[in-house]
Amino acid sequence: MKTLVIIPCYNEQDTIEKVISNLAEKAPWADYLVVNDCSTDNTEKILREKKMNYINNPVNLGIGGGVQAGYLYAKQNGYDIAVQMDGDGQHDPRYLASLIEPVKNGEADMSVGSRFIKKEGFQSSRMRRLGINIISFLIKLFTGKKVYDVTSGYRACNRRLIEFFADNYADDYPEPEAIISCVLNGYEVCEVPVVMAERMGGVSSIRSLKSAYYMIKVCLALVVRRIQITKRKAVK
Amino acid sequence: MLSEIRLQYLLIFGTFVLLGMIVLLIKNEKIEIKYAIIWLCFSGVMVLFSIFPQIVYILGDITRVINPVNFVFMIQIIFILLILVSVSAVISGFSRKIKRLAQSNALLEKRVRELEEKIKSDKE
Repeated sequence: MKTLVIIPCYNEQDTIEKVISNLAEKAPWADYLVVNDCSTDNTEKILREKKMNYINNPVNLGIGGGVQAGYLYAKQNGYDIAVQMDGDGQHDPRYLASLIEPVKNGEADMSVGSRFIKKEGFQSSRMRRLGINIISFLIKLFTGKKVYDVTSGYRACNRRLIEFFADNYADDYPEPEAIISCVLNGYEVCEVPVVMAERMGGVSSIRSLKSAYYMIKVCLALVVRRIQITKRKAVK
Repeated sequence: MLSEIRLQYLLIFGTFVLLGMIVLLIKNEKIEIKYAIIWLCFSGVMVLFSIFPQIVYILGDITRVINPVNFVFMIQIIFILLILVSVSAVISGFSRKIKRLAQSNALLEKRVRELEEKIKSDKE
C-alpha cells in the first residue's frame, strides 16, 4: 500500500524539520509531501536546503486549497492511502499505523485521529471544546453519524476519497465540511484514538477573533452540504 | 410643463449615454457578452422609460406605487441587486479556477525543479 503523508505548512520554520525527521524515523514506510502554502518566513529555504519532498503554492490558498493540492498529487502519483498531518508538531507519527489501519483493512474510507476518545493528551481550551461539541452535534443531527473530534486535521483516507477530495474540498476551515460531505456521499468515516501534543510553534489557523466567523461559516456549510446532497439524491 | 420636458430630454440623454457606454465596452471587448447581457437589459429598460414615461405611470399605477419615480428606483435597485449577485457567482467560479491553476502550477513547479536537479547532477 503506497501511503502519502500530506503536511500542509504555513510559516512553520521552527517545527517543520523536526516534524519531518520524526516522521521519517517512526514511519519510514510512508512517503510524505510538504505543501508550503506561500510561507513568508524561512520555511521554503529550509525545505530546499534539507532536500525535502515539497511543493510551493504560488499564492496562498489557505489550508483547504493546500491540502487539496496534496490530494491532487496523491491522485496523480497513484497513492492508495493519503494521510493529513499538521506541520506544527501536534500530530505524533507514532499513531500513523493505527490511524491508517481501518482504511487499510477496508473498514472505513476515512479515519479521523481523535483526542476525545481516550481523553488523553492535549484537550484544547474549554471554548474550543464547546465549539467542537456544537459542530459534532450538528453533524450528528444532519447525518446521523457521531464524530467527536470534528476539527482534527490528523486523518487518513483511501484511494476513492483521494479522488473525491482532489475535486471537492472546502477552502477555509475544511475539516468538519470534509467529514459531512464524506458521510453524505456514502463514505464510511471512523475515529481512531490518538494523543495530540500542544503545538510546538506557530499559531492555530483558528484564532479568537476569527472564531465567530469560523462557527458561522462551518454551520452554514453543514446546512448547505445537507441541502446539496439531498437534491443530488433526488435527481438520481 | 416646460421643465418636465427638459427633464425628459435630460433623462433620454443620460440613458443613451449609459447604453452607449455599454455598447462601446462590448465593442472594445472590455466586457464579455455573457456578462454584458444584464447591463444591456438594464440600460435598454432605462432608455424605454425615458422615451415613453407613460410606461412608468401605468406600471406605477398598477403596482400602486405612490410616486412614479419610486417605481423607476425600484426597478433600478432590482437590476443592481441582480448584477451584484451575478458578480458574486462569477467571482466564485473564478476563485475555483484560480485555485486549481495554482495547485497544478505548484505540482508542475515540483516536477520542473526535480528535473533541473537531475540534469544538474547528471552533468556533474
